[in-house]
Amino acid sequence: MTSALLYSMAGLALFAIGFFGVVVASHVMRKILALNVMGVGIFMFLIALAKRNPLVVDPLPHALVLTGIVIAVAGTALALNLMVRIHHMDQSSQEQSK
Amino acid sequence: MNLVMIFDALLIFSMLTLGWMSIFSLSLFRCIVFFVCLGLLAAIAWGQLGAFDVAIAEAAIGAGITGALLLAAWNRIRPHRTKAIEPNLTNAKTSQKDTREHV
Amino acid sequence: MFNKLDIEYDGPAVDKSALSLIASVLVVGLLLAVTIKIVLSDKGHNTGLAPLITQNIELSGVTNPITAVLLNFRAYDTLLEIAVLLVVVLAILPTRDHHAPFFKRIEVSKQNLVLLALQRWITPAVVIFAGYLLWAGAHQPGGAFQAGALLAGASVLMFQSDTYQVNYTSFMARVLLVLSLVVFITIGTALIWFEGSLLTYPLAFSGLLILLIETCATVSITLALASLYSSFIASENISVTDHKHRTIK
Repeated sequence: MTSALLYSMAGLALFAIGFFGVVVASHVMRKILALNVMGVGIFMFLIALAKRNPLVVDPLPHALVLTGIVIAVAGTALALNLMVRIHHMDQSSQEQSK
Repeated sequence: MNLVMIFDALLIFSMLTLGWMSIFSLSLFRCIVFFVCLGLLAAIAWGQLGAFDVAIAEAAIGAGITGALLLAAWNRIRPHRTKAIEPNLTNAKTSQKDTREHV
Repeated sequence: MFNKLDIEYDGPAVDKSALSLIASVLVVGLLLAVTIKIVLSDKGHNTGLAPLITQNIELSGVTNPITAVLLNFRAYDTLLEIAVLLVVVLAILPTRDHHAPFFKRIEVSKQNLVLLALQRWITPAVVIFAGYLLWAGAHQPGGAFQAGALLAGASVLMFQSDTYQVNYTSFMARVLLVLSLVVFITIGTALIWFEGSLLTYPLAFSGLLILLIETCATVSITLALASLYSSFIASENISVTDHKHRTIK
């Protein structure tokens, strides 16, 4: 069992944990964190696959993952902003109904 | 089984544990801290896999910026209990158990 | 699940949480089975696109294969990535204070001494290291994204005390935010006249053009990530109470 195979299995397991969290978690912030854990799993799978031949490291998945990390943080920021807005809307509507 | 494989296995085990804990921990603050730890361990894992560019980016973005974003958003949505806590704190000095909880 | 036996129960017949659990287990199990099959059927002789990249690395103008892929072979990806980042920034940018200055220094009476020392010592070092990363990206691990992320981290550190404020809706900030996209698209379309196709660099100038695009990208990414962070700490009047809470601590 090579280390690349080990890491790709770990990436799949992280993806599974994140997917489970997205479906099951109660709070929106936990869902966002779970999406990020899913992302880490996918990045790990891609980078591990780039190293399946122990002699050659394929730089193309590395570039894709580099792009993906920046996009992931942008998406996280957008989701967190929406979460904060929804939270404040909920709060103000609760205060009005009191 | 050489030392590198043992290191890999430990790294992967702790990453999986942190991945679970960063979603299902009790308080949201702990979730965020565990997620930042997961990002740092991920940077080590990318280094192990020979992706040094990605390791630098993950350490700076995945652990640094994302952690800051999550903490700032958490600060906006958490219930602000400062007024409720202050009288409790003065009472808590009499009881040993309460102070331990606040620490 | 079987804690309480309610004879007159008339809720929904199907438990939604159990359904979602079963669905997630099924989907993840299917995905895992397929990918494990694919990974195990690979015998380790597949080198991907690595030989193609090492063959053509002389044509790209840089020697770091990842920078070559990001800014030459697959420059479309990077162009669209910068565009996505800009769209997210536009989505969360507050729409006020167009005329306030870009950069402002405020005298704060109560200074956090440790934070101040950290800012004074770490920030210049981070700026220099980011410049090094940007320059070294041509032949070593490094590049625009890492440098931009480091600079954004430094600016997050600067925002922790309320001494410095940046207005992201001022004209200067807008120019800097769109700078990389404008430069990238201008260079890409101008190359149609000289080379005949979009984003095909001439061999003699490719290193220089990549460095120019990367420098602009670093500036834009820094400002974009810093504005993403500041959207949580300085928008609407709710944040005023947050600031008070923080200074009390």
